[in-house]
Amino acid sequence: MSSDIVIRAENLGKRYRLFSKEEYVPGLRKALGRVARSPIDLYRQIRSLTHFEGQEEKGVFWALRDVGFEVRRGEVVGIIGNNGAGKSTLLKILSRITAPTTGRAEIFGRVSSLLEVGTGFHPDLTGRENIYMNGTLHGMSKREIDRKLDAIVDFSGVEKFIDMPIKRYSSGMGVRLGFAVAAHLDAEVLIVDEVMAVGDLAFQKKCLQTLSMASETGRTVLLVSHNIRALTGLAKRSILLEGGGLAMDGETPAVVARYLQQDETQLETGTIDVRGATRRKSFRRSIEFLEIRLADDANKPTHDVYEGEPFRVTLTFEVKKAASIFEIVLYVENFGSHLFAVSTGLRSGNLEPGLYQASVRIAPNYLNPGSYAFSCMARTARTEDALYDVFPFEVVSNPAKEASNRAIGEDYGLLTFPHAWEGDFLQHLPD
Amino acid sequence: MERILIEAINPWKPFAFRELFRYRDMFYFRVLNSYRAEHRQMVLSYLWIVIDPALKILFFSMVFGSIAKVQTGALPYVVFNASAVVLWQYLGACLNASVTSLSNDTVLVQKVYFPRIFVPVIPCIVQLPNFAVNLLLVLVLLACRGYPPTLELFWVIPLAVLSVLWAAGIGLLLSTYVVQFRDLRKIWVTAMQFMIYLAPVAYPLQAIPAAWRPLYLLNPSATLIEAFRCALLGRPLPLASLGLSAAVCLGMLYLGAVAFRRREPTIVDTI
Repeated sequence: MSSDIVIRAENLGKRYRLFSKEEYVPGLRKALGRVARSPIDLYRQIRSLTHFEGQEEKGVFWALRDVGFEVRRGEVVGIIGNNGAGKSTLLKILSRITAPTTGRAEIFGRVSSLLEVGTGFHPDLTGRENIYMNGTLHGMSKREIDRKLDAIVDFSGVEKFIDMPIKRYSSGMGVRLGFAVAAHLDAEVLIVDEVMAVGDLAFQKKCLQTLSMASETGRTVLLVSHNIRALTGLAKRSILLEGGGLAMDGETPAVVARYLQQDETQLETGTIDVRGATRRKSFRRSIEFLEIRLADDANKPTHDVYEGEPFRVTLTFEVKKAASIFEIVLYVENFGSHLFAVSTGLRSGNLEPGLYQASVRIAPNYLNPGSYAFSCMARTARTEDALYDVFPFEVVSNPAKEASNRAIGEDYGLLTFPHAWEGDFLQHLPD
Repeated sequence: MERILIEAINPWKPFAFRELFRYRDMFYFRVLNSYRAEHRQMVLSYLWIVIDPALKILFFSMVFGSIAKVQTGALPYVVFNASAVVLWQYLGACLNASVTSLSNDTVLVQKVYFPRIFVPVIPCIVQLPNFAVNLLLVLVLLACRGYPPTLELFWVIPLAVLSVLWAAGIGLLLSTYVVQFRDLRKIWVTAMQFMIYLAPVAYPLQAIPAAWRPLYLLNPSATLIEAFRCALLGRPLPLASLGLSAAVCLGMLYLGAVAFRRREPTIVDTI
């Protein structure tokens, strides 16, 4: 039956204006520069936010292009993609925060979007007052909230503080209250963005339960998350966005596999050419990464790292303008969150134009088996080049070593630290 | 089942009544809670409602009444001035808050959908209780000075409604532009300091040359103030210019709503 379709999106596209960023000049000179710039220029610039001319005008960026899909009642659909792939733009369009430039979408039923928990909370108002304000903001009626108030307060776990201004709440309490309201919305369609990234572990679990319960009661959920593990558990189907376009739409495991798929050349040579990688900032750089290479301790190129074995990362970059101070940083990421970073620190020295290589050996290696990615950043006093999630790699368990002291299939986190169980290891305590 | 269509809207029908009705409780709580929040953590809390207009009346009476000796006919200057300051206090506050409302709420607008057309209207309602309190106190003042209320006082209600329409209309028209061009905020706040002199608050209408008066009264702020003073002092109201002003107010509300709806779908992109 066609009435089973809850969301239908056709050719959705969204155009944004990009301003080329001005070269950063600290202090007074910048301020004077702004004054000296003609008001007419500034007027044109600000006006161009809403006025577009040609189809392929300079400085125009399509955050979303020709995206179309259908979602049926009760489906939980994950949306996956790198930073800047258009995930947030898609959610913003579907939740009617901004209108699409092209295409249209139809949604059957009430929509609640939780792009951020606790939006519209007023710090000076009490928890109770904010529940009413936030609930009605998301389209609930007063009567509905009257009926659910106890349940909401109960869910949030902040009963004791419910008549206190929320500016006195800890940030965790505020978030919990926000999610409690959200969890009690009776919308047919839920649009959720990264909500699970907040709160303590117990609360995150509660959030996940709420979402899976929502789908069991026939509600439709659209979910963006960097937490692939949580996503795989919740969503049967996923949509992969790449550069604003729909790259794949299918069963979550297949889509996740495609998302994590590694470049062929990387598999062979342990090297990724990053000259064409998408960069968040598009102004002219005077320092630029060219290549990233991963190798084992014997300097043999590789695409995965054995658990506990040291590894080396070599960054090749080009300096286009002489710089007197610089910093190189390598980050290790796990689905969007920085695990740790190693930095050269801010160094002074004459960096003449030319090609450079920086190698770092990471030892000991505390990473547990799993999927990770490198990000890197290079900066001088004037510019920086930053690449996010640019080099995916795996940490695999080491067959050479005896089976580690872990049960298979259990989640022991991302890192292992050197440790020792003390004394006789187990002590029987007298009653 | 409700069906939501995400595509171009028709700005010439700016009021989506069914949706506005569905969000009525949101409107109510935003009004109630902005009112509550406005007076939290203040030593003098609700006294501030009265302090500001009282100081205005004092200032005008000293500068224009005692020093410049503005002629107000048979009326004592305080009576003349106080009967207008009440409405100006309200109208000015509405115009100020309504025009800047959307740019004060950008965080909200970026994160959740609700009928944004409410945003510039809410401040105009929030100010109403303050207006009522001030009105009551001025009525007492006028009665003490020998001007007890008459039947004409009932005109205050339609005048207040027209004031809401007028301020909301201007707010709808300008607020989306204030978000994009932040200069407008500075310009508006400065302009509001002088706007009071475009209405007969400090001086009588008769001070305007007769030839210019029709033009002067085209500004609903001026007509509403003049009519309001008549209502408080029990004089006949200038019904002709009031009718014209009502038309201007309604026209502005529609025009403002159309302009707002035209820019609403992508206003987030300009923040």
